[in-house]
Amino acid sequence: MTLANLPSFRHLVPENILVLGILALVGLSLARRPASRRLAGAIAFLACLAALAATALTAESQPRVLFHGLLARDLFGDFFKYLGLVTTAFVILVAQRSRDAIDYRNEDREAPEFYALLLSAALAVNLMAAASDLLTAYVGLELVSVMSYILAGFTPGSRRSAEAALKYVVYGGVASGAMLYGMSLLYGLAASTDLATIGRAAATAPALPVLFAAVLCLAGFGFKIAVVPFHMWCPDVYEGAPTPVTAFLSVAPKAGGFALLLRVFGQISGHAQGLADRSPWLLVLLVVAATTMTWGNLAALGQQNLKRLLAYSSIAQAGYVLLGVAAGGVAGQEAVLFYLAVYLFISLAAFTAVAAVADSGGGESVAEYAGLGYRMPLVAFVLSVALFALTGLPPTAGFIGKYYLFAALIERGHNGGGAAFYIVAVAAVLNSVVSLYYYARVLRAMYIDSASATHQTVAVAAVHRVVLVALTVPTILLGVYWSPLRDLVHAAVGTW
Amino acid sequence: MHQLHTQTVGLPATITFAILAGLTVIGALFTITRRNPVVAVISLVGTFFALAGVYASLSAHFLAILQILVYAGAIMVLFIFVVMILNRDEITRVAARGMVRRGLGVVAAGYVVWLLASVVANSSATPLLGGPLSEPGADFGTVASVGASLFTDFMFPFEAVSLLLLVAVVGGLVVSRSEKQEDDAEETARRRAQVATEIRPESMVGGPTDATANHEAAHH
Amino acid sequence: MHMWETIKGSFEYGHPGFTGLSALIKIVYLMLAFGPGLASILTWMERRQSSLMQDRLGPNRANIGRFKAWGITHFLADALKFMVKEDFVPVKAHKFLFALAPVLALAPALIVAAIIPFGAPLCWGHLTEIVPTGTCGQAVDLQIARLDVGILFYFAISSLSVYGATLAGWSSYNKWAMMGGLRASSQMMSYEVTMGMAVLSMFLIYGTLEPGAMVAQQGYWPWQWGIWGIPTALSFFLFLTAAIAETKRTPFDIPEGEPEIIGYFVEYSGLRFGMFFLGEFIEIVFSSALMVTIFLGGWHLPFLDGLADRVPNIAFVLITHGAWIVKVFLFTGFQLLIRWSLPRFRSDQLMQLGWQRLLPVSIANVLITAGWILYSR
Repeated sequence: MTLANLPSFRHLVPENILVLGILALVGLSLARRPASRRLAGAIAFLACLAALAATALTAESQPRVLFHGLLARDLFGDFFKYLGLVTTAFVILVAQRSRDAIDYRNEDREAPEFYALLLSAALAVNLMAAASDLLTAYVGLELVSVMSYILAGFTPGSRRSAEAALKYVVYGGVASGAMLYGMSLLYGLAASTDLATIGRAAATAPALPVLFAAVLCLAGFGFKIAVVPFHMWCPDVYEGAPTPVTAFLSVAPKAGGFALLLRVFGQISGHAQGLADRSPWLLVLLVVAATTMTWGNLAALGQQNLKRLLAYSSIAQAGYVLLGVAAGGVAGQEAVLFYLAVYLFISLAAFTAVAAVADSGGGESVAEYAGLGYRMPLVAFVLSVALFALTGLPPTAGFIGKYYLFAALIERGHNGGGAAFYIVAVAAVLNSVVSLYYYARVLRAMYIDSASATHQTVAVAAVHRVVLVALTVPTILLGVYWSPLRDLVHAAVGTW
Repeated sequence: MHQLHTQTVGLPATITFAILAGLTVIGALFTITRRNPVVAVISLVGTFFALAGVYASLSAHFLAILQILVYAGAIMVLFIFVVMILNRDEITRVAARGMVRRGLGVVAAGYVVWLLASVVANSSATPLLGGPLSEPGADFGTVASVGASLFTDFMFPFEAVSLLLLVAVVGGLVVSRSEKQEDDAEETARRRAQVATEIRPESMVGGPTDATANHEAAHH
Repeated sequence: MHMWETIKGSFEYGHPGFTGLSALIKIVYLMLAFGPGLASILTWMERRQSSLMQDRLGPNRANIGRFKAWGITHFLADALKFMVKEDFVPVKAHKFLFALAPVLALAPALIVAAIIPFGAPLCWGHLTEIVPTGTCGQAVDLQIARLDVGILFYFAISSLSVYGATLAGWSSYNKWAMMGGLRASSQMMSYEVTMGMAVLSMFLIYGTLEPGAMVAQQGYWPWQWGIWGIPTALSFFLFLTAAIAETKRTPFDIPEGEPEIIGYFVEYSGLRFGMFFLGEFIEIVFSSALMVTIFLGGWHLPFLDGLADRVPNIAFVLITHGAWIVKVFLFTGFQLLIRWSLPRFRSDQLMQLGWQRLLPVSIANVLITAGWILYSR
């Protein structure tokens, strides 16, 4: 059911709340210089919570198409909106005590602007999640990209931060260009930018143009989710950006990118006689995913800077999730959504731990984490849980997520996908084992390499403590009792 | 391919398109091969001009004028600004190290070009190009029709992009400020306030009306 | 033979070559004869008028034989001087861009004349008959191009003249010139924004971007002209200020303020400098023509009301064209008058005026006009 402009606004309440929050923060930055970071943070946090509540309250099981076919409102998009808004809420709290984001020792410079940009990025993730047209997809993608560029370069006077932003901008420009070319080819094939029309046209068009266009679009989406070979910006940006921004970047744009991937490629290849049946498209996806996993894990082995290590690890994680996209079908999509939700808690926990350590004076390299288990026991515990979850060990939620992904792969291999799926599944398990090595290196530094470090406990900011606990509980809880999330995911995939 | 074009739209339009497309490609090639950055920017302006001509030949008048107004007239001026302020010397030749890397690059690029050519050749079987082309309506591409569709069918992306521009302006201001700039501004403001409170004009010797008195005093 | 017949046939109304031929004649007249001609006279007029205002003699010596004519022939003398001066190109200047910059300063100033209507429509084939308004079947508009995008064409082309100043400054291989070029282009870019915003409320009121349609909507009497009304008068003053800043005239002539600061054409001599000089005056002529079109009724004058029903068409067209010339001439004289009445702005005052004073006022003007139109319709 396609709605016109005015009736569509009723379904856009979360986005409207976010826009009001952005405008309020911009107004605050004009009205009072310097503005208190607590006030700005409170406005942003309230906007996020209100948007979350609005999404939950206005959710309908009946999918709708808004704004003359440009935006979709269904439970699938709502799921990714939850992911984006929860991420933003946590990052707002973490940024309250992160000197590289908001310099709270120097009059809270640019606090409202930081939060305004963060809320805009959250709004953009909402747009990406709900896009049912190439135009809206591009607008959402560009909005999140531009916000990410600016947020990555936010630390004043930091060369690393400026370098991160510059590399991100240049790389993002090229990736966007390639993606736009692919989108233009898709438009040429279908005479419309609507995804459903493109899906129908792709089923009847010759396979080569559709494959070419799909690969080019993969360049743009793959840049956002940082899969090989579009991952080059990831380590430098994650290392140079302020840590709360890195935490945000590791989850929200990935979630939005995967939402777009599922929607666009689901339309192009999902139909009978779609791309999957008439061309080696699935093989392309599998190769990309396998390369991403392997490259990410192998490159992380030698890293000394914790943020870079986590960056390569998140590249590898994106590879795992891409496997679920390749597996396709209901099982594959549910696995993707489940893993992204679980990954949100894990990744945010890891980066919050890094932020807490940096805030209390510790550095960012593995050597400086020596003895952390005794200096900051809570932080070290949370980081350990997060690293175990990233590896995929029970009883953390990471194990459940990986289990679903691999199960979807095996099932697809069983249902006519061929031997490639089995091979890649085995490779994924092996990669998880390899990743344990470099995660364990961090654990060893924290707990065992304590001979030369002091054992005096260092205080952790209250905000960080709250966030750390709030993130660890779901990580462990969902490893034991995950059916609410499973039901939510099931409802989301079912509507689309 | 050009026979199909000539049959569909006539010879003058084909010649016009060939000239404009040629200018676009030449301008783009110059942009990436010139060593002098300012000349490269000017070549890009020429490319955009030719592209605007292509749009005009497709009856998209509003888009053609906007291309010149926004892209060639505003964005490229900012490009030139930045290039001139940075004032780098001419760029030295890019040297890809080693024959193997260069060879791989050439092979990869060649493969992409071959794929692209087969895509274009293949596309003549698609509904858009295979079917009959119709003349655009009298109000196709006019300001009124583009404006009408912009504010009805495409109102949502329009508003979303306006939000993007707002936040990008805010972000641009934030990123381009430097710590030194803000400290300098504060320092200047503090010093001005200090001067205003401590020094009064009447106590200054040798002010503008004091010249003759000073002169006489010096002579005595 | 075939060519000659095509040319002869082009003089008929329906012939495919007619539009091309008529456009060519209009281009030659307006862009090659009228524009540069009036601009050249303005170069003399500025100096003479300023001298009269400052109670001195000014240039009055140039003569052809025994005719001095108050020194009007100074513009011929100037042109001759520019042509025979040594053409000096700095050794390290970028030759191509150095040569391109004056062209980019002069050409846009001429091209914008393409959309300006300079008289009532000519009724081809019925030139010696009396043709009441609106009854002509073979109307030839006295307008080179009737574009749907209208005034946007003017903005698009005049935004290219920024390149002229910038490239002139940079390619001279002279630090003073480059700073002057950057100053000039930043000033021009800033005031382009205000120009667009200021005239936006006029677009809302007229409901069209096309200058010919704008003139047709205005009447013969001053209270039927575009300037009548408060938001429109405000729009007029904003546009006038921004256009004066755009053409880098006093009080916005910091880029070329000769005694105070070195401008971007310090390395240019001879005819190249003449091109910059002439380009500026042509900009004055055609921006005045545009303002006359939008705000002051185009070729309408009060006593012409009803004249179309009483005189032959060709006479009416010539009279309206004459009225247009008089209006443009008086308006350019007004712009020249401003030059010697106001002191020069400093760079930062100039930027502040553009961005912090004029732009918010023009945006508010657009909002007020839009609200008023919405309310009254």
